[in-house]
Amino acid sequence: MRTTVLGFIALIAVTVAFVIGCGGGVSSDVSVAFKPSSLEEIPIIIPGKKKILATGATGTLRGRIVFDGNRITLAPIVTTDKIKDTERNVCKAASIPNETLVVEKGGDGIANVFVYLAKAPKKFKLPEVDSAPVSFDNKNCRFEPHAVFVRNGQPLNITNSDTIAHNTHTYPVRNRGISEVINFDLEAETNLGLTVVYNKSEKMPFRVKCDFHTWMEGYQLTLDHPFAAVTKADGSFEIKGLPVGKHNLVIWQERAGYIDDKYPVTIEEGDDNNIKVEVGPAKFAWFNGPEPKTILISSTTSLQNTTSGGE
Amino acid sequence: MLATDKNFYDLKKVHVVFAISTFALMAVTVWMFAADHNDEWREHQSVMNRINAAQTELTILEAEAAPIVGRSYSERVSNLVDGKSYSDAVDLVQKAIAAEEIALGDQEQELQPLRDKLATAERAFDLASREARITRAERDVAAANHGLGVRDKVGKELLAGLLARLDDWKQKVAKIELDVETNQRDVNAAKKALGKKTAARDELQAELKMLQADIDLMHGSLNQIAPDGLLMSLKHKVMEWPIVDGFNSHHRLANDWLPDLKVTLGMATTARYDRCRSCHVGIDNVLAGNKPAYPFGKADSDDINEWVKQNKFPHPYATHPNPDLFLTAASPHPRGTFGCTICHDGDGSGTSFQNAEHGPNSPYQHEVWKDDHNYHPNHHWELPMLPKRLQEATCLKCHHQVDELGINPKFGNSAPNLYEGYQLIQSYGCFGCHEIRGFDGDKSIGPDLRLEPDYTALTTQFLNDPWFKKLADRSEPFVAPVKRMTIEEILAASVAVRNNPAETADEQQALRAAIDAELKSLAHAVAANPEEAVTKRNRLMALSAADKLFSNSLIEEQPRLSAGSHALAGELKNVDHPGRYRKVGPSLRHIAAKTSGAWIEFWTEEPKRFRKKTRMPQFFKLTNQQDAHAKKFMPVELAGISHYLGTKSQPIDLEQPAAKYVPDPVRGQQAFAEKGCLACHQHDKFPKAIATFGPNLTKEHLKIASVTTLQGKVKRGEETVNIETINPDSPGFKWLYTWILDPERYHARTKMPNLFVDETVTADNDPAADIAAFLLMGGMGEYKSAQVGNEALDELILTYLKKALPIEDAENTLKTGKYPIAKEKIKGDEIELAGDGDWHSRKLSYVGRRTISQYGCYGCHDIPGFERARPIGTTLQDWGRKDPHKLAPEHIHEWLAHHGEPDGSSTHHRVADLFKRGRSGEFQTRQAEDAALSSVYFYDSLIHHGRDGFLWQKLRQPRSYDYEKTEIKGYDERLRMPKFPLNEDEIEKIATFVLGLVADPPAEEYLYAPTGDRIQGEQLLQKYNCVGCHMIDLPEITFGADLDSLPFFTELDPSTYADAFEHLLKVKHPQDADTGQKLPTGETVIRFKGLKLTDPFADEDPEDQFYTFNSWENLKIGDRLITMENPKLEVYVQNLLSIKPARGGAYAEWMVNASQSGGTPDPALRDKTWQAAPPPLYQEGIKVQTPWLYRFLREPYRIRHTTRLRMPRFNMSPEEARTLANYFAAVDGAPYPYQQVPERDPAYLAAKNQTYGSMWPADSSYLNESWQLLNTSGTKGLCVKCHAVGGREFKSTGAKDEVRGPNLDRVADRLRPDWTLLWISNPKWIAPYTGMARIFNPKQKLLENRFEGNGRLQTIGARDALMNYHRLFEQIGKTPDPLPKAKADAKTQPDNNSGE
Repeated sequence: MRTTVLGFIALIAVTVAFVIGCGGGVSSDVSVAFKPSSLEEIPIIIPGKKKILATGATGTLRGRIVFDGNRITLAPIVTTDKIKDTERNVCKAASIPNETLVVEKGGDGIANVFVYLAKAPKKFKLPEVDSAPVSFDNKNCRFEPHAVFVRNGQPLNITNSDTIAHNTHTYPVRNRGISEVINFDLEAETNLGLTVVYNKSEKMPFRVKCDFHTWMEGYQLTLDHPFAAVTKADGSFEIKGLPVGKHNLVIWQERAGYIDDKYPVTIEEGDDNNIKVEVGPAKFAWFNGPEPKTILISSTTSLQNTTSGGE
Repeated sequence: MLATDKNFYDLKKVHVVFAISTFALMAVTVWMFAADHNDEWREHQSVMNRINAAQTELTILEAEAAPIVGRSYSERVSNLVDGKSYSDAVDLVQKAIAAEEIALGDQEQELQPLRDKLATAERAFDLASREARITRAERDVAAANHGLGVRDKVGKELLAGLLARLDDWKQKVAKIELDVETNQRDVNAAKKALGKKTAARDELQAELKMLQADIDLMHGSLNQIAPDGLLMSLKHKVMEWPIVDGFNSHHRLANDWLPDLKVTLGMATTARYDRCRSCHVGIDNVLAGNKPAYPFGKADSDDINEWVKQNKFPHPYATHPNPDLFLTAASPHPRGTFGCTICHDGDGSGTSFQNAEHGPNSPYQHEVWKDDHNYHPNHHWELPMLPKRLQEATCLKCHHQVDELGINPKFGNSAPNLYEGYQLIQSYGCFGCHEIRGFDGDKSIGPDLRLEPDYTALTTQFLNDPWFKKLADRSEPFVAPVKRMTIEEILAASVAVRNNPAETADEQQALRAAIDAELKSLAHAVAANPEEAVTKRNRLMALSAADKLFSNSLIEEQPRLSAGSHALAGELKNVDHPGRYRKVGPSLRHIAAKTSGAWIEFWTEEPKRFRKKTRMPQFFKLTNQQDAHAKKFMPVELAGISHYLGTKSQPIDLEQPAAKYVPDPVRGQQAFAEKGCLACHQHDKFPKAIATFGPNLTKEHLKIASVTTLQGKVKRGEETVNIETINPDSPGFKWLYTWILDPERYHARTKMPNLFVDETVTADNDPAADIAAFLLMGGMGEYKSAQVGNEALDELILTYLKKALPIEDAENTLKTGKYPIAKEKIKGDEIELAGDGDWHSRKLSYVGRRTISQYGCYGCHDIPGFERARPIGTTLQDWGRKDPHKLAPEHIHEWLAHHGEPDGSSTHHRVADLFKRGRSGEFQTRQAEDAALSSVYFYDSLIHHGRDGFLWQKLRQPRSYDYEKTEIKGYDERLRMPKFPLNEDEIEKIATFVLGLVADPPAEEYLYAPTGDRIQGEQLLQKYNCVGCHMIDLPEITFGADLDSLPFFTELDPSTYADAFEHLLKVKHPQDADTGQKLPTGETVIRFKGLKLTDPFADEDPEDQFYTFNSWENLKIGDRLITMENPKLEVYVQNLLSIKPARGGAYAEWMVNASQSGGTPDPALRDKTWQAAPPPLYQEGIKVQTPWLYRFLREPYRIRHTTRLRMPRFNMSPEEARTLANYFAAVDGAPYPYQQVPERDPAYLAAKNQTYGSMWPADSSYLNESWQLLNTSGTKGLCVKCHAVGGREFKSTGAKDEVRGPNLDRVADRLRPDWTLLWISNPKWIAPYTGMARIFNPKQKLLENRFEGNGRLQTIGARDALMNYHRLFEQIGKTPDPLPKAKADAKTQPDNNSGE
């Protein structure tokens, strides 16, 4: 019913626009506001305004999220000697790193930061969903990649490269979570993994855990549009095909939460849209425990200490 | 005087007088008839008639206007009528018929011969049929004649003639019947021929009839109620005339005769005869689906048509509310069986408003009734109808167990006021003073609320016998018995010793020791567990007798045990129908270990001064204690109480933490929250955790005496900090520490459970000590004992003593300090005065004891010396029928006129004001008016000497009946009832309950005696506050759903096994989620049980805000399913109708909510907190095996290692544990008490071996393979990741917050096989928050060498191995570790109870 009404309004709008348009560039303030009922392309010409075509001009946003402060090293979550004897050989890394904040080696880029549009841009035809699966592997008793973005409808392939059992337990808010033991100890060719497809947009990235190895933690984000990226090791990211105009970005990091939930950017046609977001150490200081503690961040206090409060 | 013809009167005048009087008599007779006929009920029945007529008319109009849809007509008619209104449809069909008629008219030439043919055939058929009938009659005559001939033996020849005649007629009949058949065929053929031509019209006509059938029927019934025709309506009217109406009139009295439901009137008991339906005509009329035919309501107009239009009907035309529960045949109270007055009281045979003895709900309603019905209350009728506000009271006549009224799976809380009154009485412990005896002999007469026999106190006191003390005081333990003797042996030996005093002293000593030892151990056993100790109690009594017997021998002159103990032993006897309630207050037996005398005085004087919401009532400073006498004596009484309790307090062994342990109040605060204290207690540090089962502990430290502080160092995280804390050596600390560790040590009948805090004590973490420190920080408050002067003390004692002694003796006693009677011979409180010792102390003890006796403190508290005391108050079991003349309102009228309010103002004025406001229509709703006028009602009742009013004032101001009476009463004769902290609403609810106590049960078949364990289970859930921690039932969410947007089950996810899914639907049968209701906007109202996962995001647009829920049920909507496969439901804020809170589990919810305090939802943390919280017991019945649950309730052990607290041990009797275990199975309809485990049957296992034998080597077997699967370890290990299995301990992964599952060795006894299979198939189908993963699914191939990697077979195999665990463990033995233990692990591998 609602669709019909909206369709009807759209039709009138188009007709009015057409008639006026035929009038030979008569400028008018006529504008019709409505919500699209679907994401399908609805070509609209509003006289006197810039023509917006859904498949029209887009730009690519590039940027970096950088750490602005003194660097510190976080201690491993679990050291090898503590890991169960049967599994020590599998969890090969020297120790299990603390990945809650990963800053570029020799640089200042912050990895694993999610940068995305909270909602799909209106009146814009979204590109088709990529059918190529996104990979999410259990490897060396950690998740690889640590943070991943997948679009609704796009397959997410969860695999296990270790020779021990892992349980991949996801905690989405809207989507159906899973808690499954993932194949292990199979040849790579036969180990096809478990494919998960999300179908609802999440508001923010959600946690993924392994109940067998509780230090294992990763993050996934799923959205109904493709405008999201996870920063690479150097803190850089790239979002292609953004419609030109103003947008608000959500910048989210697991330790900091929202670095910004409305970071404004204006996209212009082409590749020349760059941003750089600097994040100070205070954003990453958190604690859990019965009472707040004073947090000191200075050149002499390591960040590591600030995280142990109340434990 | 001579008689003459002369008349003394003027005859003409006489005629006139006669004529006038004749007419007058005539008029009076007519008037009498008219008056007699002018019953209210006739008028009501007339109105009801008009209502019915109006309703039928409206229904006809609606039916005629309604479009015709979905009826099965021929295609042609459907095309014509579908979607049309009735009248249009009829019109159209009639037109179609007319068209057909015209068409037929055109074929007249063809039709006429056919019609003629049919007419001819019919004529022939008629003729033949008639002839056939005559011929058959002739044949029958012939047959009869032949029969008579045989009977009369008429001779062979004549008989042959008769037979021939019969044969002749038979042949004729055969012939004519053949004719009839032929003619019938002709008729049919002719009809068919004609019908072929007229088929279309005929069908239309038939369908027109169908179309009209319903409406015609309605017209028919309308004609019955309100005839249309002149003649019929006249007849209808005439049938209402006097005398004529005796002949089957539609106006008639309705009678419900209830011969088995007797009513006692005066001294006579007679059957009930309820005529209420004569006026309440529509009271039991319901429509399909048990919907009231005449819903009660106030329409805007007096016009009947308006009532019908608005579907709101006033009394007496309305239908009874809640037809599911009352009056209808399908309800538990069908009208024909129960009538009306059994529930409503009043006079069932009365046929007028007045005679029915209606009861107004408020004086205001009284006024209205007076105006409308000329109503006045009839004091002479014993059972006036209860006002609506107290209506539920009568439920108690039949519902003696009460709980089923409050908690009922089908009807919910059907008597909320009564049930709350019942709960209030239970929580305030009214039965401590007022016995509510539910039995008269063996007959149940009402609710039974009595204290349990105080065996614990008796035996505890027994153990306190001076003789045992003497034994304990000796430096060496008393002589151990040479051998343990049976009671029979002891008795026999005692007799032998008596009969033969020449026995050696050694043997006598041994016997003595045997008796002593046995006495003591029995006393301990009985004290610890009185419910189980029937035999032990009997033995104790017997031994006590043996002690006496023994002493009668020549060895000793006096029995060893004191006379008091012997008397106590006599009280240990079994009681028929023992009471079930524990005393509601704490035990005061060891109170000196806990607090100081000054605090006791301070507290007792005015409890709510210390704790605002305490349930302890106030005994002092009440309205009858405002005079000089009282002011002088009250401090003496208070000092006496505290002195008595202090001096009689018995010693108790107290625990203390390890030496040098420094308790940390900060850690204690956390432990206080995590160990479950908040499930029952409140503390201001946790403002969001609301629990009222136990007291608020914020001020606990203010009452614990002898607490000192010290400076110490504690470790918090990595840091070591200096703190000030409580000295663990201080006596007050030790008391609290012991109480937390072992509550039963202080009070054997306490409801405080054993939390097993001691299990988690380590050298540097003792949660009990930390909690004690947390609660004690701040130290004790300062309280001053009253200075009691000798003068006041002596004066009070003299008042008492004058009742026990001659005045002279009494005065002498005070002078000399010597009581004139020997201690052994004193039965009363004066025993405290006798004996030696400090006279002042004795005097104080006496006053204390006397005061305790007087106020009945022992009704709620266990107090030494009062083990045998009886309740002091009046019994309540028949108070609801108490003769109001026996109540003494005294000067209450004056009191209320001038005082009566807490601020001293006049209650009369308040009530009068409320009354006025009621009259002026100030209260918008009926409910608001009822609530506001509650006190008006009761006040009015009190002024008219009603029971309800008396009770109301007694609970409001219990001592106010002493107004202006204290001057003429002795100090100890004043009223003693304390004032409870009740508000007027609560008082009304308690009154509802008490007024229902009438001890007048109907015939036994009317008593509702629910069998099974549900009701008693419910009582226990409340008694032990199981619902404080556990959700017994999940929240119920109701919302309006656009069905297209619901996540219906469409196809099975390829990662789920089809038969696992079928198993899911079998174990958790889909629940009907469709309420059958729709919102005005068209959404379907859906209902399901589940947990809320997230709240709406505040920063989203209002229309985009939604909640997410996990349904814990499979849902059915129509024939579509929403299953646990797809468990999340999003409910938009605007569509959410209600979330009915969970039943119980407030503590668990508090924990979970506390974890989500960050503002943004953290589902991972939420799930983890649920894993750490007390689990919901939703559908527990299908999960656990009942015998296991019984054992677990008696002796709980740690199952989960993820929980922060463990199941405590409650002070529960075996019977209670059994009931509770059965309860859970009963609720879920699971079989109990015993469960089959078919997976252990040889046949089952053999079949598995046969079917799948090829999957494993010849030397293996099904169970062996399953066992290996379960026990696979090393890198391929699955179960071992989290569980202890196969004799191996759980191994830590090294992570701090690892998930440790329950030990698997207990599954076989604990879980039901079907549930277990479902759990392994997909744990989230059962508990969406669980940390247990789904192991086997078709998309994965794990452990290919077992069951060829078939995950479904592996799932079933794992379950079967678990069910056969013990057998397999015995056969196969402990599973060895695959790798040698690393050295490093040997020392760092703790048995990590996560979270502890």
